[in-house]
Formats: sequence, structure tokens, C-alpha cells
Amino acid sequence: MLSQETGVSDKQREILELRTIRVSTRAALSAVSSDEEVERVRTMSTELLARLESDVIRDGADPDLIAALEAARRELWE
Amino acid sequence: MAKKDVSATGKHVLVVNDTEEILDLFRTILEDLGHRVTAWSFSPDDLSKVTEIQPDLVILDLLMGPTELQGWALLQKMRMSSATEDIPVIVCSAATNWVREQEGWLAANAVKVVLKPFKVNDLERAVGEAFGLTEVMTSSPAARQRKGSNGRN
Repeated sequence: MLSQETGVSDKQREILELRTIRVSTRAALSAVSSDEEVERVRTMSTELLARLESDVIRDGADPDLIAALEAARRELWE
Repeated sequence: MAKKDVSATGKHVLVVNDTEEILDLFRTILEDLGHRVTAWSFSPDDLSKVTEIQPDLVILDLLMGPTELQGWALLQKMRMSSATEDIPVIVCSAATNWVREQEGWLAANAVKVVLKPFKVNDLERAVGEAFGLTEVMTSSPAARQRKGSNGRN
């Protein structure tokens, strides 16, 4: 499926979305020090990943993307 | 990746950040929007470089570098310099408490905030709003007050 506005495929957009969440989460976790802030970053990232997962499932549940989402969730606790 | 037709809206965006993968990510997202991107890591002569290239927008991280205050220092210097005070700025930060403490100053200086972690739309929206704010910044009471307090009109 293509976005009418951009012509970018849903999968390409979802790949960029996942990369954005992962990179910004890593940057956030490396920048915060208090337990409260770490918890906030993990909670926010978990919510963003859940929303993205819903979109991926709606668009046919691409197995590569589902696996990458799982990897991103594991990264939060490493 | 296909790009939007933004020939009429493409701007020059400066991204200042010490993390290479963040710079790469911003470049991808902003170039997708049709903007020209200059990306660099912090250095002591940042302000003179910003003055020299006169970007349409600056996106910087507030907590990074050896002192963790380089972004904040650059932002304050930009707002105190007549050559850069009206350039829209987006700060990208994970420090929610700090952002809350500085909320008044950031709003008065028309600085947008994107909290990490974020999604593509968060950045796209902030960029759109930052460009939309350009005219407001030069004519708003806060902008006039800034200029007045700096001894300029």
C-alpha cells in the first residue's frame, strides 16, 4: 500500500518509524541517570512500539518487522 | 524512498548532535521532507558557524558532550546574538525535568521541544510548527521583549 501524500510504502514508513524509536530510545537511555527517568523512557518507548506493532499487524504482519519489534523491546532491558 | 514534492518548501536545517546515528536519522527524516541538512557535532565555535551558514532551523540536543551543557549554552548564545536570535530552534532532549523547569524560557524564546524517545511524526510536526512560528517570532510580544532587553529594536 502507498501513502497518498508521500508515495512512500507503508513498510518503508514502518521501518523508518522503528529505526526512529530505537535510535531515540538508545539516545535517551544513555542521557538519563535517575531511575524515574529511565522508567519514563522505557514506558514511552514501549507505548510507541505497541502502537507501531498495531500498524504492522494491520498492514499484514511482515515477519521481519515483527521480529525487529521484538528485538527493540528486548533492547529496552539490556 | 520516494520524496514529497517540496520544491516550494525546502529549507536549510542545521542539526547539532554528538551521536552519529541520531545525525543520520535526522538527515533521513528531514531530507525525506525535502529539506537540505547540515549536520555536525558540537565544537567551541558553534555560534560563529551558525552565524555564518544562517540556517532556516536549528535542531540541537540539550544534554551531551563532556560538560553536558553545550546545547544549552549554544541555545542561549543564539538567543543573545542579533544574527541568530530569530532562527527557529527545536531542542531534542530526554531530560523531562529540565524541560519542565525551563518551560517558561523555552516558550518565551519560541523554542520547540521534542522529547526522546519520539516517533517520526513528532519530529515532522515540530519542524512544521517551527517554520510556522518564524513570522510570529519576529513580531510577538516575547520577541519584542527579547530585543528590548538586549538593547535592540
